[in-house]
Amino acid sequence: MKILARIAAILAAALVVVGATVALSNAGALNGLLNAGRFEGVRAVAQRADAAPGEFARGEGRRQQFDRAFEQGRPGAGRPLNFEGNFERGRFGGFSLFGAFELARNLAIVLLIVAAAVVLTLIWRRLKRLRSRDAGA
Amino acid sequence: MSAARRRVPQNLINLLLDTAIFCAFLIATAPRLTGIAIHEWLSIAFGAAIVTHLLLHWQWIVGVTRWFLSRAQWRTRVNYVLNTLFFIDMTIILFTGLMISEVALPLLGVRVAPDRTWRLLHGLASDAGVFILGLHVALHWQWIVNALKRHILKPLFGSRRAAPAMSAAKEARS
Repeated sequence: MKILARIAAILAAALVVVGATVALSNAGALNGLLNAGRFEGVRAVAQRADAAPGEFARGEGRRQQFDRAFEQGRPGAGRPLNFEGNFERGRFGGFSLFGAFELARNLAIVLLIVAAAVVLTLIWRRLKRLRSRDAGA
Repeated sequence: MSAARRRVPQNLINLLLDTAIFCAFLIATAPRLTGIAIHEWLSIAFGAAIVTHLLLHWQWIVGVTRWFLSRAQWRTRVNYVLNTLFFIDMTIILFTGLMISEVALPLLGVRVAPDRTWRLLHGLASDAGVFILGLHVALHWQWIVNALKRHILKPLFGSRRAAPAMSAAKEARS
């Protein structure tokens, strides 16, 4: 019973995060974060002043317009959208060496951060020891 | 053998579970390596593993939450804030992953309309997750090293070292 209550608490906390994410997404607050500097070309199409009549169908919201512009601006536009759009066939088909590289890269990032933290901790301890020695002398 | 002796030490359980979660996270963040189906199912299992991880550390969570502003040390506070960020990030990764699911959810009969925001957020949160994981491991590095020495290295190599020492003691006695 205790464990079930704890699981419920964890899931409730997760639900709060999900709710906040959905709310932020619906409010359009995430668009700036997600698109900053990444889709300049796409944004240019979406915001183009000389856009041809009907290029963006009437009644479409800004979000739909952006999505359509994304479609037009991305390489291989016009093809049916697969998972992740630009991650086309072969992207998630099965084992590939590029995937092993991805895993190695992530492991390297984690190890680098750990190594940096361990080195910084050692330096900090040595400095502390030197300071206490100086204070004692 | 008594029941107390047979009981697996809590630290060993934590070490094994955390190692499994770490490996699962690294594999899940490389979907090209496994393919989309394994990526999705592994991530769902990963969510369950995180809940287990949190249950195993429940006393710490409750204790620090209670004393966060008054008694907790700065290191504990940093750890707590980082863990909270990690939880938020993991929740976002799992939720957005479910929202763009191509295999797992459709297999269960659930179909969600594709939305580019979830895809972008999924990628961004995953990238951030790798960095937060690095910091999380770094903050617990001393515990990891100690647990590895005590539960893995010592039982494996400690007995080998002890054996020659014991035979030398026997020789000395005879």
